[in-house]
Amino acid sequence: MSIVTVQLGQCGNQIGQELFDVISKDCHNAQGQSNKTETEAYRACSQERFFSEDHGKDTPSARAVLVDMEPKVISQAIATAAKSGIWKYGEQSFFCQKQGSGNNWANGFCVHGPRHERDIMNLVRRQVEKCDRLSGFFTMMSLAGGTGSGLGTYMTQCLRDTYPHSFILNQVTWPYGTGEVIVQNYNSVLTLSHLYQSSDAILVHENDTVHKICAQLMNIKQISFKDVNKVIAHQLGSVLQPVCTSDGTAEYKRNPLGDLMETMVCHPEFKLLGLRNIPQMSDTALAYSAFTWPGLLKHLRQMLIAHAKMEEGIDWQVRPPLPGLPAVEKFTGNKESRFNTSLSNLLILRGKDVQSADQGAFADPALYTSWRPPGSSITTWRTPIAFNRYEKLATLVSNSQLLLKPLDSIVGRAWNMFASRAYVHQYIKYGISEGDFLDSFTALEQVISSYSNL
Amino acid sequence: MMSRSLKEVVLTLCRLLSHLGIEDVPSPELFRRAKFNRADATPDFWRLLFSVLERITASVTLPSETELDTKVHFVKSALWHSGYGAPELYQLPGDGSEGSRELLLALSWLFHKIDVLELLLLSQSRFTAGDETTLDEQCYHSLAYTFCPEENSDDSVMTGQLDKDIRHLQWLQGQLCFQWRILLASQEEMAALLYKIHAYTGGCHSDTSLSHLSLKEIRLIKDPEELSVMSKQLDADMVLLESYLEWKQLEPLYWQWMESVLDARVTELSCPENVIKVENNDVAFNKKNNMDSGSLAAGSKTGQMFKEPGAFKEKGASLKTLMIKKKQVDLHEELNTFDPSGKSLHKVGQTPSLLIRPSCQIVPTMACRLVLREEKKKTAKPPPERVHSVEVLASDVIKDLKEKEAILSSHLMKLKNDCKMNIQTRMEKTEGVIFLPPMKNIDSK
Repeated sequence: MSIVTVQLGQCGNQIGQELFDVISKDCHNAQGQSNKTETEAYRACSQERFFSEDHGKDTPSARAVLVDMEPKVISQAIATAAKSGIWKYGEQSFFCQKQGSGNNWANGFCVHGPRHERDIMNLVRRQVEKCDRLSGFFTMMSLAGGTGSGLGTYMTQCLRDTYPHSFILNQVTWPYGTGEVIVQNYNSVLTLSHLYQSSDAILVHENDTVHKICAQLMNIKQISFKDVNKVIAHQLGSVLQPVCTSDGTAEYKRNPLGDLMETMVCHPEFKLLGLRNIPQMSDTALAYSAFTWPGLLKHLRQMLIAHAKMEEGIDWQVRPPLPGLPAVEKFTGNKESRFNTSLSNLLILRGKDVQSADQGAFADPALYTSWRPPGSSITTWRTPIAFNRYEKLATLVSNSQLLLKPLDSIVGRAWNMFASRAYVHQYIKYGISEGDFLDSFTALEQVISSYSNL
Repeated sequence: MMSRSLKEVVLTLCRLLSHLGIEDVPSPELFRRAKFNRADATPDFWRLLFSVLERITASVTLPSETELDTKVHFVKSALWHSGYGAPELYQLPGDGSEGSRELLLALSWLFHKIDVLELLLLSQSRFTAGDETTLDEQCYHSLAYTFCPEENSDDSVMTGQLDKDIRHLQWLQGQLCFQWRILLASQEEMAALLYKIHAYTGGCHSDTSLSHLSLKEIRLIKDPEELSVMSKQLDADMVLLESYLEWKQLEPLYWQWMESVLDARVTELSCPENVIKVENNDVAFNKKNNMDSGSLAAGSKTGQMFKEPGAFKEKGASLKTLMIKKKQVDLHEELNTFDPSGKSLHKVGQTPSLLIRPSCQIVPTMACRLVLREEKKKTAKPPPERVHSVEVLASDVIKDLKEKEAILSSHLMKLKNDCKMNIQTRMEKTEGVIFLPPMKNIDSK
C-alpha cells in the first residue's frame, strides 16, 4: 500500500527530501544483500509505498506534495532530488508563494490555509489517484514555525475532512529549548492541541536530542540543519521501510500506517510517539563496529526506562518499580531518575540474525501502565534486510512519558507569556481569539495529566 | 432387521451428513436401534446432534473431544433455543445413557422445521468465481437491537479498578476502530484490483453476458498448477450436491419411516406408568429450565396436555396425521421448486427459520457475482436471459444501502443526544468536578 507524503514549510521540505533520499539509497543498497527474491520483495514493497513509476521513464517520482510559502527551499529540494539520479519529485507536485508566514501560526492557519486549501488539496488528490491502494498520509512539519505549523495544522484538518477513514501520521519537529523564535511556545501549543483533534498519531523529534546525537554519537563538529535532518530521516526511514509482522510470516506488512496505529495509539488521549535508534553512528565508525542483538536490546531497554534519548549517558540506576508496590510509590524518590512508564512499545529490528533477537526484556509488565493487560503492550516487527548500511539496527517506537517533560515545559512557558498577554494581539489580528488559546491550553493540560497518571 | 430400501434411505442420509462435514455420523443400523429406543444407540445420537447443532450456532465453539455430559447439556439448550418443545427430550438423563428415540425425533424435527440440511449445505464453502460480494443483511440485524443503558446503574464514585477498566475499554474501542479502517482499506484495494481485472479482460470471455474473466480464471492463467486443486474442489462440490439430490429423492421414505417411529413412541407412552413418570419429571424440568432464557410457554403447554393420558393419545394421533400431511405437501412443493442451479437454496437462505434466528446466528452466504458492464451496452440491448441469476444493479444496491445508512446515522445521532442529555443530568449531581467538552476545530473562514 502507498503513503502520500505532505511536506510543509522549510523544516518539512528539508526532512522530506532527506527521507526520500535515505529510502532510495537503502533500496539500492539492499540489492547487494543475501537472498535475491527477498531483497526484491523488500525493494518492490518500498517502491510501491513511496514512489510512483511513470510509464517509459526510469527514475521513480516520490508520492509527495511539497508546500511552502517561499519558493527557495522547495526548489532546492526538487533540484537535489533530480541530481541524485535515482529518484525525483513529481512535476507540478508542489505549491509555493512569494511570501512566508512570518513565524505566525495564526497567519498560516487562518490566512494561508483557507486561501490555498483548494490548490493544495488538488495536488494531494492527484497523488492519491496515482495510488492503487492508499494506506494514508504522512505529513512532516515543524511544531513551532509559521508555515509548517499553522498551515500544516490546517492542511491536516483538511485531509481528515476529505479522507475521513484514511490514516494520518504527523511528524513534528520540536523546537530547541533555547528557542529560535520568540513565539515558538505559542505556536507549539496551538499546533499540538489542534493536531490532537485531527491526527491519528503524532511522531515527535526533538531538535535538542537530535543535535546531541549529531555531536556525541556522529562526532560532527559544525552541526548544520542538514546533519540534523539526515538523522531524523534515518530514524523515520527505519520505521517506515518495509518490515514483516511478528508472527514469523515472511510477508511485508500490508498497511504500514494502519498497523502502526493499531499497535500504538488506540487511546484518544495518548497520541504522542517518540523514537529511539540503536546503534547510531557516523559512516566511518560504522565500518569498524560489531554488535550483538542482546547487547543492543539491553541498552535500548535502559534508554527506554531511564528517559535516555540516546545511548550515551544512560542512567543505569533506574529500575522498574517492584511489582505489588502501590502506584503512589512510583512517583516518590529522586525526580531526575524517575522511571519512564510506557503505554505501548513497538520494536523494529532490521539486519543480520534478526530472528535470534529476543523481545523478552520489553515484555515485563512493570514497564507499562497497569491498565494494559500483560503481554499486549510490546510488538516486534523484523526483517533480515539491513537498513541504510547498518548491519544490525533496532528502532523503538514508544508511546510513553518520554515527551511529558518537554510538553510540560512548552505549555508552562506559553502560559507564562499568555498570562501577560504578550504577543497575543498578533494572533488576534489573524482571527485566533483568546478563547481559542484557552481551549488549546485546556486540551494540552488534559494530555499532560493523562500521561502523568500512567 | 431393517428393510433394504429403508437401510438405503438412511445410508443416503448418513452419506450426505458426512459430506456436509458432520463428525460422528452413526451407522444406519443405529437409526434402526434408535427407533426401538435402545440405550446403546444413545451416546452416538447425542454426539451426532451435537455436531449438527454446533455447526449452526455460530456463537458457540466447543472442541469435538468435549465430554459427553457437556455435549448433552449443549444439545438440550440449543434445541430449546431453536423452539423444540417436546419435554421428553429435556427429561433425558444428563449422562447421555438413554433415550435414543427422542434424539432421533429431535434430529428429524431439525431436518423438517429449520431445514438444517439446507443450512449446512449453504454454509459449506463451495467453489466460487472469486468475484462475489455479499448482500447479506444479517449484519444489520445485530445493529437493530436498541442499546439501552441500565436505568439504575450505580452512580457512585469511580474506584481505581473501574477507572483502569474504562481506560482499557477505550483502548480496545480505539483498536477496533483502527482495525475497521484497515479492513476498509483492504476492501477498497480489493475492489480496485477486481475492477482492473474486469476492465482489462473485457471481451475475453466466451460468455457474452459476462464478457470479462473472473478472479479465479485469472489465477488459473497465472498459475495453471492450481487447476488440479480446483478440479478437486469441484469434484467435492459435485459429490456433495449429488448426495443431497439423492437424499431428496429418497426423503419421502424417511418420513414414512418416521411415522412408524412416532407410532412406536405413542404406544409406549400410552402405558400408565410412563405417564406418571412424565408428570413427575415435568415439574422438575420446568423448575430447572426457568433459569434458561426464552419463554416456557410452548414447552409447558405441551407438558400439560401430556398429563391427560386419553387426550394425549387422541391429540397425538391427530397431530401425527397433520404433520405427515404437511410434510407431504411441503415435500411436493420442495421437489417442484428444486432445481440444480441452487435457486431454491437461495430461497432457503433468504428466509431462515424465524424460530432460530434470534439465538442461533446462521450465516448463509448470499453471494452475488460482480459483473462489470459498460453503460452503453446496457441501454442498447438488454443482456440475454440467464438461468441462474436475478440481476441487481450496483447503483440500486448502493442507493438502498445509503438509505439504510441514513436511517442508522439518524438513530446514532439520537443515541448520542440521549447520552449527552444523560451526562448533563449526571453532571448536575456532582460538585467540584469540571466537565470539558472536546475542543472544537476553529472555523477560520
